Amino acid sequence: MQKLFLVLAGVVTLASLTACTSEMSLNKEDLDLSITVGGDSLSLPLGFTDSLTIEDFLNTDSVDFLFKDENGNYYLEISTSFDQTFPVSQYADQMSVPGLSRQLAEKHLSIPDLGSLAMRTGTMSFDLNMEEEIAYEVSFQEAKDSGLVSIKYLKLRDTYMSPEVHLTSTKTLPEGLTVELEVEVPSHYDFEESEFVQGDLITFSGVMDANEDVVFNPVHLEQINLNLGIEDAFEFVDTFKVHNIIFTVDENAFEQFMGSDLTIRAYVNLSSDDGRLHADTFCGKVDLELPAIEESIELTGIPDILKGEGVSLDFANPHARLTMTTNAGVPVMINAHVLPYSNGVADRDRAVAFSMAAPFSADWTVSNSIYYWLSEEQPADMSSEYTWVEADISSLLQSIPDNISMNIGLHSIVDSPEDHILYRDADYHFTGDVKFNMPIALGQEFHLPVRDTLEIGPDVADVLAQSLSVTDIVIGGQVNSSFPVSINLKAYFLDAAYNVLDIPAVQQTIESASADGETVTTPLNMLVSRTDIAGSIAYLVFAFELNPGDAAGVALSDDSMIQAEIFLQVPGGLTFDLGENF
Amino acid sequence: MKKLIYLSLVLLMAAAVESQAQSRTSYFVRNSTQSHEFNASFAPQHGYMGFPLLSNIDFQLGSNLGLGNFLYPLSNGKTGLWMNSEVTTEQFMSGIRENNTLGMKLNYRLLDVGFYTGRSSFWTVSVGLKTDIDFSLPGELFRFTKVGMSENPTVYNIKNLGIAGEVFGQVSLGYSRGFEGVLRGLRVGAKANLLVGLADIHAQVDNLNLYLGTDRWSASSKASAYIYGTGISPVLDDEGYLSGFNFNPQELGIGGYGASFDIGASYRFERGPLKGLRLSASVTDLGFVTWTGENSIMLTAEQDFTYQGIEQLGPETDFESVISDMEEELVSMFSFRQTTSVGSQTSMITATMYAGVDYSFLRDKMNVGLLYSRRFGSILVEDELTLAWNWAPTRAFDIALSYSLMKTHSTLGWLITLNPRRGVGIFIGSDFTPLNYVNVTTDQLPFKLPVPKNELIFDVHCGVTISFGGSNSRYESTFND
Repeated sequence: MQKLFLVLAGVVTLASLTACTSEMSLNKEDLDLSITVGGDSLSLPLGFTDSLTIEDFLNTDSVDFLFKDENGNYYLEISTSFDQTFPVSQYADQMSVPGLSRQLAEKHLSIPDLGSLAMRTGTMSFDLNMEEEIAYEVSFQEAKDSGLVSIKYLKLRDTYMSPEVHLTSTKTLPEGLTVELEVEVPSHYDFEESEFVQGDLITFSGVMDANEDVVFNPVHLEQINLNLGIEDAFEFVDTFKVHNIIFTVDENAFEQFMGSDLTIRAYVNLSSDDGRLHADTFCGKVDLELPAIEESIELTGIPDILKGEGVSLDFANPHARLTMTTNAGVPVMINAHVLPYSNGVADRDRAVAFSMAAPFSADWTVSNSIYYWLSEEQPADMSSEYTWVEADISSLLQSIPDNISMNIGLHSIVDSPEDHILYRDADYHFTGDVKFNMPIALGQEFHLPVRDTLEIGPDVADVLAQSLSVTDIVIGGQVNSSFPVSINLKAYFLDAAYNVLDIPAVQQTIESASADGETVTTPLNMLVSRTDIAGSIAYLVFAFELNPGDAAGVALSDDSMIQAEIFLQVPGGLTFDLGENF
Repeated sequence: MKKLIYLSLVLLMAAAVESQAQSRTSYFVRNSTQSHEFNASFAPQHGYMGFPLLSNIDFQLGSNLGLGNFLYPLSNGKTGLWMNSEVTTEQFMSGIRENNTLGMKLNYRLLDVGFYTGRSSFWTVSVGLKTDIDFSLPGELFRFTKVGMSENPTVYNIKNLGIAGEVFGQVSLGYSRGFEGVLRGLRVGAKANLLVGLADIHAQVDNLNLYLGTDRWSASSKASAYIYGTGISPVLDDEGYLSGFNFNPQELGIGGYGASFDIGASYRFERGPLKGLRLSASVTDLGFVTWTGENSIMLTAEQDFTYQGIEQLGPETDFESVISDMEEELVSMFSFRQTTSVGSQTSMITATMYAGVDYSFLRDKMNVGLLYSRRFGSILVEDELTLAWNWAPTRAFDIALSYSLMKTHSTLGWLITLNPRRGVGIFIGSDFTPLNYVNVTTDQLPFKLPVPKNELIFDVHCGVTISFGGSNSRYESTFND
């Protein structure tokens, strides 16, 4: 037994020599339960953004004036139209002058015996053998003051020359007494063609009625050919001459009439019913300024992406197409002034003005149209139906305003080769259709952001916040882009109320695609520095900003896309304190 | 001094159990009544009978991982976890093996008898119960927890993650004999075991591939499981996935039958310069248990998971939902589904192969040996290399020390055998007695608790025998030479 104990002692001694102990405290205050998970290169794939095309940048669905042509190129087209009617009568009325109504000097005639009278078959005639001039003073001075420049002719409506003769006699006047009155009119007066009109001489003929008045058939004055130029006086006197008054009576009745004394009162009238001469049609030149047409185009529902602060658009060959239709017989110059408004303030620096002639219609019942192409330069492929007009409209929508005000002035072209024709009964219509076409292009001034806001949720936000509170994180990945321009990718953080947190935004330039449009991949490596306010993070925003730089003039096509593959990397891993959960 | 006290306590605790044990350390013990458990050709010097109910208790509980693998002193004076940023990957992984185990093994023999017929024919008869539960925790799994993403991409291939447990009764009849007439020093033995299967549970992730990259996180897993035995039935959810088990103790019983064999041989050089050298080799538990179909539940899970981030990231992205879906997908990777139809199933029991060489000197009173073993577990193949030293100052007493190289790093094996020619003998020892301890203080304990630092393991083998007397040819001849 002694040996046994010796052996046991030896074993125990051997074990003791090889064994060792150390101290370890697992008391709560002595435990550090912080752990770091994930490793040195912890990366969480966030995923892929949508393939953002220019459509996403432009948000075409929400903008009803953004279109894409058959080649996939985007353009803004803002259309407006106007329709203005101008009654011509208000101008034609200025061409009215008082009519002519003149009483000739009273004449007395003793009826001679038969021997001294001309004898016709069964009738006896005698005349007054008179010569009297009638001066007709005409003035268009008022019309001239209102813009009348020249008068070629006036066509008159319901204007007649209608003389009157009233007879009194010391004996009873024989029934059937016929009176003829000869009037010589100025040669520029055109009367209707009739049996009474012989050149400038009009012979009126009438039969005395029971009241001893002689009523003549009126003769229609159709036109007055004035041919007054701008240098001519618009006040002048036209002279009418009454050459003779001839009486004819039946031979049988004449005998009882012989020896009587006849008193003749004659009148010459030239007017319409209201005593004036009214131009039914004016031909000449007028200097008219029609009431301006005011149109306002409200650009509502525009997303911030297109009109937000800092958004600057650029356009390739912007142009406007104007179609003007009118039945006006007056050549009119259109002077348009387009003024953008933002926040109620006019941006006069970006105002656009252009002028062009309206079409001319010699027949007011027929409307003619004209098509204008307005741009800085005449495009080589412009359709032949268009007439090109130089107009600088590229700056108009460089940024999209709240509304666009259009002031369209219409002014007659005084020096036009065509005569101005005003039809008194006509309404002149001016109908216009304007389309501002702005192909969106990449210019040096172009700046267009699109934002992808990620609501990362409380769990991810907590992880992100916790990480950022102790270490930097890296937003990594890669961006594939076929945009022909470089793109500035910016990442920043929002709190729950969508306020931008005071964490320095990180950004990186994404390379532009090659000229052939082949996609270029840019590694993404954006370092977000540690911050003490990380706890407020609720959203992560990725903002892509097209950044044309030197690629100015390249049209934006839907062939271009950009897609980001994003991961969050927390170098060194995530550190948690498990003790907080105990 | 404290160390001495702690070790003494452990020894005393083990010694309190009068026992006879199957200990790896006993492999080279000349007069061991249990060495035939390793090699059927081995035989003690005389017949014996195990003390009823105490003939053999072989118990091992623990892991080859210890507190020291997971707790580290930090620069701030505190104790930190292995995932603390101060603990380097190299520091942590240096203590982690490729295969890490957590398990419980119990070999309990109700009845054990060994006796000689003739000079060299030795018979054994035994009845016992074996329980073997293993958790396999591959080192890659721990590397994953510590390293995470170290590069882009970081790839993990995790194999042999699982649990296996088997419980069966065993009735054994063994025979060994020497062939002195043919070749002096040669001894051959075999043992036939009738197995009564009580339960066999196995769940294993055969393959779990993890890919962690900036472009994606992906995983593919293939897992399988089976449950053989009575008293357990699966509970499936509406989609056919396993959601739990119903356990009915009243239905526990025999679920299958089987057989196994042990075979072994040894050769001892009796003459010449190699006199005293012994070569031995054996295989134990080479067998199976067949379970009836109604007592067999087969489960499988195979799933791929890929997270490439979120397509169409944008304002509408619901990260919470994505994360929730991801969690569900990850969980579903290990959702087992019962296979449609199974018949009777056969499971191999855990076989072990041994190969040893030892050399005796000092007239066979002392020997040293080297034992290699390979244990063919259903989820884990374990290799072990054990160095042993034995000293038998008398034929009735043997003391042995061993050091196992592969499963643990800082444990010591020891064995004390008292096996008199006649009378009561005891056997007590441990293959893995930790040497490094940590005195742990906690808020809950009023004293410092010594805890194995590197291998949290409790391993004991013990038993009680009654010797019949008789003779052993080798021992007699050696001592007589």
